[in-house]
Amino acid sequence: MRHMRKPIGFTLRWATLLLVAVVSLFPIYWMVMSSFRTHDEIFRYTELGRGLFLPVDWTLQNYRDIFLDPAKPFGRYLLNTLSVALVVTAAGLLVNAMAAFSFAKLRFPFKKGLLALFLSSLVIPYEVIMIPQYLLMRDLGWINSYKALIFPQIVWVFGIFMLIQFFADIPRDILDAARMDGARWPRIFGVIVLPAAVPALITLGIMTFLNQWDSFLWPLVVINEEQRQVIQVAISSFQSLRGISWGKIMAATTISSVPILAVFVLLQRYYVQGITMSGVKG
Amino acid sequence: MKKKWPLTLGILLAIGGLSACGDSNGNDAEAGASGSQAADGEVVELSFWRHDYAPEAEALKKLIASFEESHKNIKINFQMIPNDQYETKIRTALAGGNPPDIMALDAPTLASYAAQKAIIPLDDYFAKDGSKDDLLKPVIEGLTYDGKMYAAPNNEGTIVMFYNKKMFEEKGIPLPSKNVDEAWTWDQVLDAAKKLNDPAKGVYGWNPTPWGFVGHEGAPYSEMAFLWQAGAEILSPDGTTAKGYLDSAESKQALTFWKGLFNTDKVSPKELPQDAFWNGKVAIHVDGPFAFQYQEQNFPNFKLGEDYDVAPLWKDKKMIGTTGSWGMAITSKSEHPDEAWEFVNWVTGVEGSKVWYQETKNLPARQSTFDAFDELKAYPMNIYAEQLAKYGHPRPVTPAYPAISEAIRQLFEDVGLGNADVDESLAKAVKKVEDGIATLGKE
Amino acid sequence: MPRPASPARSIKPARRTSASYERQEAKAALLFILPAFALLALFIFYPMLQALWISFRHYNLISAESAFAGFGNYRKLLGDDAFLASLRHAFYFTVVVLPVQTAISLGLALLIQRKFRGVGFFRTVYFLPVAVSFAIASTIFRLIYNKDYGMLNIVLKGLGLPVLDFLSNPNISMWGIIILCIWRAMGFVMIIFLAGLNNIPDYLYEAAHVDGAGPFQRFFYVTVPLLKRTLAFVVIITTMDALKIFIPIYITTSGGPAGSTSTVVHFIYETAFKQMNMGYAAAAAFLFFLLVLAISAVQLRLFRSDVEY
Repeated sequence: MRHMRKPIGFTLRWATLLLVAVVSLFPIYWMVMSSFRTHDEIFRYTELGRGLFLPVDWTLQNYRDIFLDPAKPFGRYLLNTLSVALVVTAAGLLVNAMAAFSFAKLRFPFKKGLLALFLSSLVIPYEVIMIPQYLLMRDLGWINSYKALIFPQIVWVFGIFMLIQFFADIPRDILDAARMDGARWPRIFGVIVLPAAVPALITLGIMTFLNQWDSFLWPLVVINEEQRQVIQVAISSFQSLRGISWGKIMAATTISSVPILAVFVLLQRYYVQGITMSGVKG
Repeated sequence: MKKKWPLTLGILLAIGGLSACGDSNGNDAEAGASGSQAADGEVVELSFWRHDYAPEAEALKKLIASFEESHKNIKINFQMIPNDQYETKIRTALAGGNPPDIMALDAPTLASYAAQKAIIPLDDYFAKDGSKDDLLKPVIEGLTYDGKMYAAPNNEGTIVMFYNKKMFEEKGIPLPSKNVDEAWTWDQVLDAAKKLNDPAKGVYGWNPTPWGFVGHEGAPYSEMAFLWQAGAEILSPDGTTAKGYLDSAESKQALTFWKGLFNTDKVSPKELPQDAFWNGKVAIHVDGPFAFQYQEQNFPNFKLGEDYDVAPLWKDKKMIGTTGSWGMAITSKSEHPDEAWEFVNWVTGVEGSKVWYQETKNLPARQSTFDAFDELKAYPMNIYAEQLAKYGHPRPVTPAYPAISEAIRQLFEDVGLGNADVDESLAKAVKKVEDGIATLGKE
Repeated sequence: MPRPASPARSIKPARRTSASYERQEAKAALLFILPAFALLALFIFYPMLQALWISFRHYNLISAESAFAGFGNYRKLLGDDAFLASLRHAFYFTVVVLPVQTAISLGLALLIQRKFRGVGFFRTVYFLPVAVSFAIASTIFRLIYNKDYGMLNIVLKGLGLPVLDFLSNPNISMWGIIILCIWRAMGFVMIIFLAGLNNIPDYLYEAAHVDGAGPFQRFFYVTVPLLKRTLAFVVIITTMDALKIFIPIYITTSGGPAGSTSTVVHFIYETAFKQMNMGYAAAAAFLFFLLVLAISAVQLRLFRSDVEY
């Protein structure tokens, strides 16, 4: 922006950028550094100084511990979580995009009422439907199965709601024109809408993936076999009543944040864009 | 549909309960023989859940291995659940009617499970081969609800005073006696704490609860001792009300003292940092016997006898130390209660208890274990053992315990952290307990 | 005679076509929604109905039997100080987080929208907190916040600033949670805003510039109006999420100190899983549900022309 040429604006802008960056990084920096400390070092330094900011006794023991513990196969948990998250993300993108397209662009009776009903599912505190949901899983025979982690998670009304906002930018004229040319709606959706919405879908995809990567309470209750457990549950098992293995927690969290960050960095090019229909935008 | 499922649940539970009773009666004669069902060549699989704690998990894995070795017809599926969420997990499974055959539980939660018939009484089993006479009295008391014993103890627990020896010597404070009959009074501890307190160095004199103000049972466990030591009770002897007991003059005195520790004397940390005692940030601390193992693993240079020592817990009008730890119960949904008992008895019986002690260094629940290890008669474990035998006091056994635990936790937090009015906080706590008795006390 | 007939004839087939178009469109629309609706009905609405049924009963979490309670649970809740306090705390949290977080996220999005050297770095750094699980982020903040030994306070003390005892001072404890939540969420919301901003065509800014509009005028006359839909979406979603705040509270303070951070969902969780009073917890959830639904309805109405629904 042109006004940034002024030195004061320029300085202010960079000062803000850097300040927010420091605030964002500070806790994560602390986490990563702690993962390289021995247990008795993590809370030892209580005054400003080198020991507070950098490990005195660098160690990889925490990482070794989490990966080499045969009772808690960390790599296995990573894989479990990755596969569940990928399946949910893929299925969720399709199902939610279809619904969002319908709500955003198509005309049908009771549209508002139906959308309000959908949105109401975002309002109920999850903790209270967890028990009935668990009973349902039991009746379906899905306890201790990945079906229980996947199917109830596919539809995400937040995602539908978000995509509706994106899809709203697609001009209706284009759809009508395609319709006049004899294209059916599924084809219009597949050939016109989805390609235009790639950035939006990637944004939602990252969010869905993240959401699944973060999920804790539900896998904890429905999965009864340690070998099948997911990453967040495994990490929380490093905290016991009588002692918390902080080093391991920090190492495990550092590792588990890497996939999210990798996805984010790799797809940066896309997610910041909106609907891309250059030239046809109404 | 809406109304069908609880009904189905009810029927299932009723059937489960009936079959459980039937089994335990019908198989009494042959249950003693471990291979009773091996003749069919059928392997019985039992699931067992417990909260996750590495040293205890190791001990259990050893015991499971030896059990499966000698009981070829039984296989144990052992699940460790993250500690923080153990109860959420087990209660969800109970709500869904598919809990494990065997579940670990903290002693005082037992009554709420027993009152809802989620777990079965073990008296018949204990009478048969459970060596009940060998169990310590407060242990039995803590696991008995409505005249029946519902769990077998893995170990007992209590807390004693830890102090930083070097700091005491630096300040010229006489060291506390190691004789459990000569425990320091609150005022003695407070005096020492005032001298040890050093805000400039970030050192607190006295941390009166092992984990600080935490959201779990660790807090009320040690806080209740203050009430009892002052001569207060939490419930009436028949367990029907807290009015006139929890809000007695003695309670008020205990809480006023507590309030002072954090707000006027300021010798106690409102926010207990991690490992504060081991890092020399707290001079007087309180902890269980598992602390030694923790120190050896994580702070090998901070040594017992050199850097720190232990003494009996403090006292006021009375000397009392809270007791109670985890045990194993058999759920009423288990289709194989006899085999489940075989396993429970293997882990918690006379021999199992010895293995358990050796691996975990928890305070034993059995006299025979105390007799088997000389180290239990020697310092520092003798302090735990003697205090337990003479001054142990289990937490109240009532279905309303979840409400009591939460009420006590909030009460001490309101007064300690919030500097709230003692009378008002007590009135709030009494109301919460009364509410709990009204809703949870129902059978 | 043929005259009046002719327009009628020419209109009629068109009408038929449009009617069948409409019918086909409605049919297609419902088919598009069907998978989502089916999943939602089975996995969310059906459990919700059961929870509603539970809310009218004396229902112990682990018990097989329950007794009809009528509106007993609901009536008791309205006089329950702990529940009302938890509502107050949730609203306090939301009233602060909603404007502050939205403003910060929008500000960040504006700052890094234009390309400059290092923009990718800042974008990634601002998103970094989102990559840490909420539970872990809460744990880290609990350690950093510690009054005497936490990194935050050591640094504050080192700079000669007063200590912030977020974890033990009931007067400021909620602010500790607020900071934690904004820290974790701002990158997420920033991305939503970025996508919205990048949808605003450049020529509008150029036109405004040509017309002599300064940066502030451009912001208020171009950015804000064209960003309204994104803004509406962010406001509605943030409100719903903030009112339901739970995980960081459960982990950092357990509702303390002295109950000062106990929010509605924390109250519900405690009641259901610790006190095992499922009926009461379900009733609390539905009272809360009605309240939030009303608020969302008002918001949707206020943003009526902007949000796509």
